[in-house]
Amino acid sequence: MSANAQRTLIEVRWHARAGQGAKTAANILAQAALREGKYAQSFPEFGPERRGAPMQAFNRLSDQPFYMHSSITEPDIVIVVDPHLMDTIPVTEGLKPNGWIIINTPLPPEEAQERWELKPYRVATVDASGIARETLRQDIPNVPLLGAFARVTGLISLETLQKDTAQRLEKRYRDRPQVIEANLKALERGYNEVKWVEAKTAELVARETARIEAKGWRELPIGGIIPEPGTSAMYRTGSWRLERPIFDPQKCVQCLMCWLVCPDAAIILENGKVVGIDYDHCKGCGLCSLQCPPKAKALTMVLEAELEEVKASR
Amino acid sequence: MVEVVKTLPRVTEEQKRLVALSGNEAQAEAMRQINPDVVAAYPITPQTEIVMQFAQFVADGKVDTEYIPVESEHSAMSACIGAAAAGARAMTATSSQGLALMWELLYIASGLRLPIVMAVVARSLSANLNIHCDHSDVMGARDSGWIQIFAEDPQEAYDSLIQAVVIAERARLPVMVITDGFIISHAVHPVTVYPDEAVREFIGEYEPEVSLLKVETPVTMGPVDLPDYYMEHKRQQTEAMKQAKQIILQVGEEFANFFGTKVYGFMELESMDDAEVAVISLGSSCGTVREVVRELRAQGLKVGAVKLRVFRPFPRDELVRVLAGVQAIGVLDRADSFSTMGGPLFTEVKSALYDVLVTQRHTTATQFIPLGGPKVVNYIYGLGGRDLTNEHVEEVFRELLDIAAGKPVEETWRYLGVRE
Ligand code: SF4
Ligand code: SF4
Repeated sequence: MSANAQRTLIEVRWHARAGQGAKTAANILAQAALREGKYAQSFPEFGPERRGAPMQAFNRLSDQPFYMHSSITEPDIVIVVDPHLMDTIPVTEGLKPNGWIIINTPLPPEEAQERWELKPYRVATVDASGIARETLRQDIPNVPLLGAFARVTGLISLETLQKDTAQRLEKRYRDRPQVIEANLKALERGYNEVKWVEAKTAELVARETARIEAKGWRELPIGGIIPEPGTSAMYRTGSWRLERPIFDPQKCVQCLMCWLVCPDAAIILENGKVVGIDYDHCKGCGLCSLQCPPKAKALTMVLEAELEEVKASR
Repeated sequence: MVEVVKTLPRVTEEQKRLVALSGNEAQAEAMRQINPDVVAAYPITPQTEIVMQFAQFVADGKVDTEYIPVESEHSAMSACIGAAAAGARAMTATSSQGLALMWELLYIASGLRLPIVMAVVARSLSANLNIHCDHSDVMGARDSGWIQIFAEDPQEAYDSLIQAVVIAERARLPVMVITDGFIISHAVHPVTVYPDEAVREFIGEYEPEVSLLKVETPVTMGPVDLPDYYMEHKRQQTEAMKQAKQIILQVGEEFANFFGTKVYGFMELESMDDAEVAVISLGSSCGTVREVVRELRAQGLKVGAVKLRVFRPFPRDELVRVLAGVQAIGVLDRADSFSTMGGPLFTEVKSALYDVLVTQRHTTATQFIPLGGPKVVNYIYGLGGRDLTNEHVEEVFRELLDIAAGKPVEETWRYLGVRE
């Protein structure tokens, strides 16, 4: 038997939006694994990302050395930092049956498994954003998620993560030990509060993928041109949004300032009047709300995360 | 035989004019006759006269060209790219540091598959500052996806620049036509010039398949191209280069038919039929080599020469066929690659020959008989305008004859005319 066959290699894929700290979390995980004498990699996938655009980060962990630099297509563990991606991105793509999916959501794992059709997987949920807001006073869900990861996978100990976090923050927050304390607390709460369920079936559900079969070089237009106009409308940038503008038609004075400044032509006009917002393309920059006259205040920015909570609490 | 796309009535001898022109004047004259939609250029020695003369043509109303006097070569190529993307026939000219400054744009022009035509007057690169000829600038651009055609003299520069317009537009690839700085650009030679109408008829109207100004079929050019598509587009580019080989031959044939010239192809051979040793070179030195071959042939020595006209795409199969049976080959490189294993032409020739079953002469193209590879020796010469004399070339041939006779090749990478 070759050395490779004996080796257990764990592959992890993080799903987040650029700016949510998934890359940092993957780095912390790799570092903690190294500290425990393991071999580890951490790498992000770069695309045309801007803050808010969906992105991925990856980890490889093993007891034995490994050398590949290829991307990860069949992960053992998927971590979803932003629960809104559950509805927009095929997060379970390639995830092995009985693999872990750890989601940042206040939903209990049974409900998550049901709602997002995750029966072939072990599902863990933790309200990482909630914990982060309480402990860190900011929505930085990656810290509690690392705690949850340690608990459910057992691949890394909470102590190592805590030691590593303390050391990493020591220099910067020497004068503010409470910041370090809060981070350790967030880790611990993620570890303690995560809940999980086992997989319900060994069968992977065949999913309808909307993916278009990519053409070969003989068929593609010469020179990489896009041979039709207006194709950017097909690219739904709405999932990049961290905040969403809420339009109140009652307060609107129809000055059209929002329509003028929106960089994504996402203000919907009917007969010259603002009637709403195209959430498929609104990136949540907030310019419309900023330009809306203070007397009208017809556009308010609401955090997508809180919007979900508002909906859930209703 | 190449299949010819276009047949036109031949230009008569009376319609042609024999005039004395320098390489630069010949290229400027070709540009005047081509009458491109847009020329954007910046002067640099030794190319300056092309731009100067063309600007004069514009000022005198002799062309309809929109002339853009830009502030750098980077802008010159940028403007050409914009113009070509808009569907214009765009041309420019440069040398040396100017070509180096165009570097990133060269790849954009070829990547967008824009048929820009550029006259490159080859000159060394700094440091140290030197305005004289070598091929360092051109060789720096050899992998940028441009077709590269070398001209030996002003006549070839004139003819090739006219052909380049048709080649570029048929292949949808940019083309550079290269002359040797000063040696050709500033040397006056007899040049046969064709009537304006004939040149315009030969190049025809440019009808781009796609352009940004065709409002009825709007397109986006140069969008972001990530790992899922980029490689297919690069593969297309290589395929275009492969197809360009046929187009180059086709246009050479059509040109000869129409203007009554020699047939331009990938290379020109001198006494290669029974040559035991041969020299391969590019540009103006091919003339010097030819002289020496004729002298040595008169002495009964079986020497030959290959003038390589097209460097990109590299005519591998054709070259290998020509070199079949030659026992020792000298490759003259007017550029160093600092790889410590020879100049750029040398490494190409050698890799073309490696492991290829060499056809024995007088067998058909499909019957390959392995003969074992010839010995290949590199001579780096003429850097920064260092002269290449008949004596240098003769020295090369004598060495090659010794090698063919069994003298061991100690070092395959040598310098010609450098002080030890
Ligand atoms: S936040 Fe407002 S301005 Fe910004 S993209 Fe959305 S609708 Fe347009
Ligand atoms: S800026 Fe405000 S008030 Fe003006 S049209 Fe837009 S929503 Fe209405």
